[in-house]
Amino acid sequence: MTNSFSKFDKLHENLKKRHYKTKKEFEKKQLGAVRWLAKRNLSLSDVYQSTAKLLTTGTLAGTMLLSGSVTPPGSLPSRLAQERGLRVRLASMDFHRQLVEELKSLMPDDIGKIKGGQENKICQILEKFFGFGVCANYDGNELNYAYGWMGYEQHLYRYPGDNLEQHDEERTAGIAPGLAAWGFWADNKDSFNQKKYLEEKYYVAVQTLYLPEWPSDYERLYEWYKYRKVVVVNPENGTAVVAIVGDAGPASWTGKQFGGSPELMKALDLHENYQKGKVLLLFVKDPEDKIPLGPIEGLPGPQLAKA
Amino acid sequence: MKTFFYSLINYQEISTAVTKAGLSPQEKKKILKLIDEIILTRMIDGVLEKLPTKHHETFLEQYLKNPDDKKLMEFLKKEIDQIESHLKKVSEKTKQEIFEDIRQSLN
Repeated sequence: MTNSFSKFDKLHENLKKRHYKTKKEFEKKQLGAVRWLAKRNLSLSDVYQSTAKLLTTGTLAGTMLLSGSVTPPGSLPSRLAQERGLRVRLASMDFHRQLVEELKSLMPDDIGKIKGGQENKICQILEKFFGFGVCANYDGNELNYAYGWMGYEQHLYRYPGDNLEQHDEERTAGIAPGLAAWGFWADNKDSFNQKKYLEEKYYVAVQTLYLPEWPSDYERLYEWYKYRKVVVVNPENGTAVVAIVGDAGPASWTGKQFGGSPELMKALDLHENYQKGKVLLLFVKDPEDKIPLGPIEGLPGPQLAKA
Repeated sequence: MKTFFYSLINYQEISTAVTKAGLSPQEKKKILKLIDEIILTRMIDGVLEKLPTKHHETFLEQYLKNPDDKKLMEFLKKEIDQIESHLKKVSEKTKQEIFEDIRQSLN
């Protein structure tokens, strides 16, 4: 028994080294594939897992499982949960791809407002995919752009005493020196809650000050746009994020029409290289505040299930 | 159900070599899992190094959805000349390395 144990240790160690080396070589050589997986929150381990699901004679370990000599690894619920996680991510890939396909022929050539018929069609598609209503004109309010360039913004101060270290993601973005258009989210750290945390995490900046009605109606508009729920869609890759209007800007000279929080831009895959991209930005019809903020991971809404 | 490259590898030979090490079923299972993953990584790498980059996404996506999809090999045969022969070489080299690891561990 002692002999068998030491043999195992040695073999296990040798193979682990080879496994590690093989994986590293793959990651170095197939960088494109690794990036493709990473963008979908997948890794080589998911590829292994996907293969291991063939719990039959398709693999060496599968042969043993079939022979009944060992029990399957991990508890059944945890394996099911892992498989479900993978399925969700794969379903998400299909979801994004389908959305790109459906939007492709409808996307305008230029940034700006979207023409009536086209806007309706786009909104109908998005409603089908997301399961909630979206529109460019809501309660008579409309931005100058529904399709425009969005740039990568910095984190915002959420309460007095807040700093970059207290933000849990994308710290390389830094923190804006001034306060957001609507000031702090909370008066102090104690009153800062999960809802406010998500609002800063998934915020957009829109050019309220360039609205034609702003000079005459700014008091009403200031309140109407404050934390207004929107959805941002990257039509190039089909990713989408539900966010709130958390700041005003960017300035027109930047050539951009919207700003996006670091986490939002990352979810849209616009956080690298030029850190900007053309997006659709539409209002979310959510009078009861039930639509959660954050990336839409591709689980079809009820409308899609019916479609 | 089998992976699309199952027929290109002599799994029985590897399994027999591991069995000869006289391991317990649990130990053998751990070893075979590692070997499975090494082979898989090498085979995917073998495909990607020959497959035009524009098809990488399609291949990976289809593989993740259904690793035993018969159409995968058909697709690869269409896109890559002598793919089976190439993958057989990759698997043979991998197998020999694994045998060497087994030999070293038993000495």
